Amino acid sequence: MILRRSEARAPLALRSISVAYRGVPALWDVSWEAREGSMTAIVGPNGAGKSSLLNAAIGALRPLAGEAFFWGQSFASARSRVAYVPQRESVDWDFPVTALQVVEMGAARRLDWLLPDWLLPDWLLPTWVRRQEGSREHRAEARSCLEDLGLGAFADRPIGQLSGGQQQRVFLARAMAQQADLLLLDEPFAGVDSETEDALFHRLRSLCDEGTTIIAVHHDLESARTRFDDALLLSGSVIATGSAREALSEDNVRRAFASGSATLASSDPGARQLA
Amino acid sequence: MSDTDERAADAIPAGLHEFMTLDLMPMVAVTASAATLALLGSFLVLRRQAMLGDAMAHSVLPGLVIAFLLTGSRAAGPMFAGATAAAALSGLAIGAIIRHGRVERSAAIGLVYTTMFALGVLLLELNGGANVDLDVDCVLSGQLELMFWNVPSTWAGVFEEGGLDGAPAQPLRLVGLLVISCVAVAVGWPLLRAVAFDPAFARSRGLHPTMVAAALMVLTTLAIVLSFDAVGSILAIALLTCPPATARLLTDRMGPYVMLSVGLGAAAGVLGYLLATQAAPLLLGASVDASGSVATLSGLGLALSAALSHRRRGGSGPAAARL
Repeated sequence: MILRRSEARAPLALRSISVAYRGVPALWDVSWEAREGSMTAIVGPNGAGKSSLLNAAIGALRPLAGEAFFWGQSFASARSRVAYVPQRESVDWDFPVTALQVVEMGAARRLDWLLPDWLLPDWLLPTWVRRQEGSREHRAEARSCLEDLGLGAFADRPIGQLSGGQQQRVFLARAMAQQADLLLLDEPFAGVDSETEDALFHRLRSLCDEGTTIIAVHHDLESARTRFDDALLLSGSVIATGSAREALSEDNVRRAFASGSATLASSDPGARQLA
Repeated sequence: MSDTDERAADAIPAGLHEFMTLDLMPMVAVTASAATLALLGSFLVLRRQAMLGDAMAHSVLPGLVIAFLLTGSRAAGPMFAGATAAAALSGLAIGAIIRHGRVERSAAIGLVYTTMFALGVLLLELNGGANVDLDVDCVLSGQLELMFWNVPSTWAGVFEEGGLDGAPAQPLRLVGLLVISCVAVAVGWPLLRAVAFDPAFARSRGLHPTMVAAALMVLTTLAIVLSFDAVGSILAIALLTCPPATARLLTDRMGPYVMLSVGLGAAAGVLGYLLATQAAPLLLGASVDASGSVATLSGLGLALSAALSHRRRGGSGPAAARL
């Protein structure tokens, strides 16, 4: 495998990725590289393949062709450095877990999955299989992530009792608990009120400043232009990439939405909800 | 104290001895199978796949019948092989129908399991005359009455080595499976929870949701086969779904949910069995089918908790009104 130098360094490099569902192409020949420590919005009309792109990158969806590299490695070797947040609607929010338990799933490492601490405490294990950090520490870590997002009071609530925005924040807290260097977020602001959205952007920006790379599927053109550094405009294939302002120019957006079946959306407020 | 006195003191009282001989083993079988099915079923209900368990319970029937016809016995090994083959075949058929028939998942499941079950009943009826050992009745409601235990006459005899030699195999097997299932769930608890809650996330962390689902399905099939032999298929279906659904209405914490589900299953087993064999003769003049009574109890439990939680929550969706 020969990688270009930029491909080997980029937190995420996509090389000619094509995806099809039942023979119908959804993504065609997408190549793109994320800039380390930046915030990128993936934007495009309905059915543009935004979520498929994330899923293909992490191997949840087998691409027809093409490859994804994380710092030059396959996802399987880099997965401990990557946090993936699926769409909120993809899970059953009536599921009987508490907010804290969800976030703990992000904090769990290797052995925690199969051998709960209460069943087989760490001091009984030989050193080479010991958990990297104690489970007690994980619990504290998970709680501090929740508090960080203003959900400390809701830690022990069943997730079904939380509002849509709070549920979204629980998902983000879980991603933060993974302490990843790359965050892949699928519609993290869907169903979130503007106040929460502000707070979340603020939090994400500070993660970025610490060096984390953030890639989010986003549905709002206006905030994509103003709040993100870079943008990847998709409509089956790549329409434009680059800085958010340039990539999401009126012209480019018109091209992206004209090629799809979706209605043309410009900056007029009524048509801004594109997803 | 003379030797005879000691024996007399140690002897099992006649009434208890009769209960142990006739009823104890069937009751253990019903209870263990109910608890196991409720435990495994609770994960199916969590993942909203109750219908899949239902489908499995139905579609293993032709496999069981064919295994029985080929080997001429109801030994657990061949029966499990037959059931697994039938379950795998059903799984493949469901997948193929979804892919090629372009119908939704539940329609495909419904199509396959009714066909398989019908095939099983047909095979049974065609060969029914020749096989006293396997008929429609025993498949639907099991053969509890055959599980009598040749109990030793003294307590010492029961607890001595070999005291359980006279006991039928099914109840002991079911207890074994219950223990295995409990250990599996305890060890895999965080894994099961993460995979059931958010498979996409779990996959991104390097876990294998399909493998976990497959392992659960194998255990469930095993539980269905062993219970089937002991208590029949209708009861197996009822216990896979009713106790978990009841527990789900009563709690929204996962630990209590699974434990409550197992408890409700076991309680339905004990109470249902006692109701059918001890209370029914007093009330109705004759004992009734224990499997039916256990299934009815677990169904009534679900109806009752649904009515209660409906009132408590003011008729809105689960958990919503308790904000």
